[in-house]
Amino acid sequence: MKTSPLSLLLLAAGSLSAPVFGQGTGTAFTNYIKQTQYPSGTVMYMRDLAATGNKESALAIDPGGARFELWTVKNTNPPTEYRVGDTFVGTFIPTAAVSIETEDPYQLIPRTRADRWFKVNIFTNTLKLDDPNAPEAAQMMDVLHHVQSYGTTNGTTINRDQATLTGTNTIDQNGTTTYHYPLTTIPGGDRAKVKGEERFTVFSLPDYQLPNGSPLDSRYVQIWPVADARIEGITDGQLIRFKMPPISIILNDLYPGSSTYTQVYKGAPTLGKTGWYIPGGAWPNTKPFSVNETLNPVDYDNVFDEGGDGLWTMEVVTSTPFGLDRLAYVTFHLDRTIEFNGSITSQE
Amino acid sequence: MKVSTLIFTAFSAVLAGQAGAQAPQQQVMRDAVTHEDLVAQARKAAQEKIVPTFKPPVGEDRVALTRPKSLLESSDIICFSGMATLVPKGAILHTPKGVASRIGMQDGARFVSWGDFLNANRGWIVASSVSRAQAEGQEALSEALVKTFEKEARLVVAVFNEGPISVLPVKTPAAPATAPK
Repeated sequence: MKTSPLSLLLLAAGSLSAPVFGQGTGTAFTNYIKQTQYPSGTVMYMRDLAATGNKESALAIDPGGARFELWTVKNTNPPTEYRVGDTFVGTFIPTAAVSIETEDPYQLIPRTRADRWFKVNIFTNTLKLDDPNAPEAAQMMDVLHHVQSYGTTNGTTINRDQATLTGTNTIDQNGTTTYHYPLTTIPGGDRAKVKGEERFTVFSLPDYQLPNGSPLDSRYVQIWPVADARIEGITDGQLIRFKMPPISIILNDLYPGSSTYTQVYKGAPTLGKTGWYIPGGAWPNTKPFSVNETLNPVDYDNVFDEGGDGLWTMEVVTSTPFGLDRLAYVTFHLDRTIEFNGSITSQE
Repeated sequence: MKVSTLIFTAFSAVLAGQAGAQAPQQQVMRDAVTHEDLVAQARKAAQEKIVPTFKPPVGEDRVALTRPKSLLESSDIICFSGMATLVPKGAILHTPKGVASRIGMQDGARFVSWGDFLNANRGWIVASSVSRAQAEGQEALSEALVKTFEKEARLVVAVFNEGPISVLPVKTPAAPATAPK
């Protein structure tokens, strides 16, 4: 019998206050850890959980093991429950930890973009490889890979029962096993517009006590689409006299946490050129999911005062953890000089 | 982090509507990738065999088979005076008629932890400690405890180390087979 520190579960509970669910801390959520004993099936709820921290199981684990599920209940009417994570702890069942690396430093949920890589690391040091009497379930573990598209949603209400199992693998060595994905494998016609999640679950092998095995750890990475934009109100090569026309900046699939802006500079389109911002042409996406926005800058003529007449480029740029991407641009000729043709005569 | 600071500063200026704020010198800029770019990347990755290969799944999805049941559905909800809490099904040992209406969700009730709920409702709830063997159905509840239920007007909830716990029915050992005469 042994007790199990639940730091992993409680750390996950801490993430509940994050914008994943769009809520803050306080009394909006109540956390529960449910411990189910095997093989008896006795269920116990831990008393009084903080949002973060460590807590030892109050009920010693049976030889058959115990499953710990971390849940939170949101005080809506009716209440809404979220399963944050679960893990199985047993005498002969190995333990495993799944972590996912991306280029995005966002802490709460690993996330990346449809055109970027991610890595899955699975660590274990509890496989009993030197014990010839150890059951098979103590000597290896399975990895299950699921994918699920968010469709037109932002993923907060998906039914994960509908995820697609794409394949399995076996780990039979202690240490870290790494899977490097250069791109997402979530299904989708337009590969730049894929949106969804990929989940990696480590499972114990089925044995007599757990005929289906038990999940040992699981993590998912969110994949968000590549943004795109268009500038309406100015056409390429247009001659603009006197006053800038009203424009619309249509932004699609802005990456969560990204900053997007519209700039102008004198001359032909040049990647990386620094210009002047168009006021009202910027949008910070503070949501934890991709968003669409339409911006309508007005009265932005004075942006061009310093550069004066001539060929100009207007472009939409988004800044993400993956760098700067130009989403759209248009080039136009500006001529605001009033030429006065005539003669001045005096009357005497 | 200088670049980030610069971007933030300039970005703030734009949001504040300061016309003509100059965009900062930044990292390398590129055009956003397209579907065609990604198809080509995926093809290259497949040719170079750098994509992890998993075996096709066989049989039922074990994640679905072992997915935990709903917490709310597998719990009893105790509700009173705008507060609610969850205990495992099987943890309520005794429900007097006078408090039976407090089992189940009431509109607008706010969930609190078991400890907070118990502290606020000790007048009509009692936490009764049980042993591990009793919770697992290895031993019956003591007769003395069961007898108190006859006169107990409070809700009795089984706890182990102060946490609410389900108490399984006592397992009756299989009767030994009698040898044929």
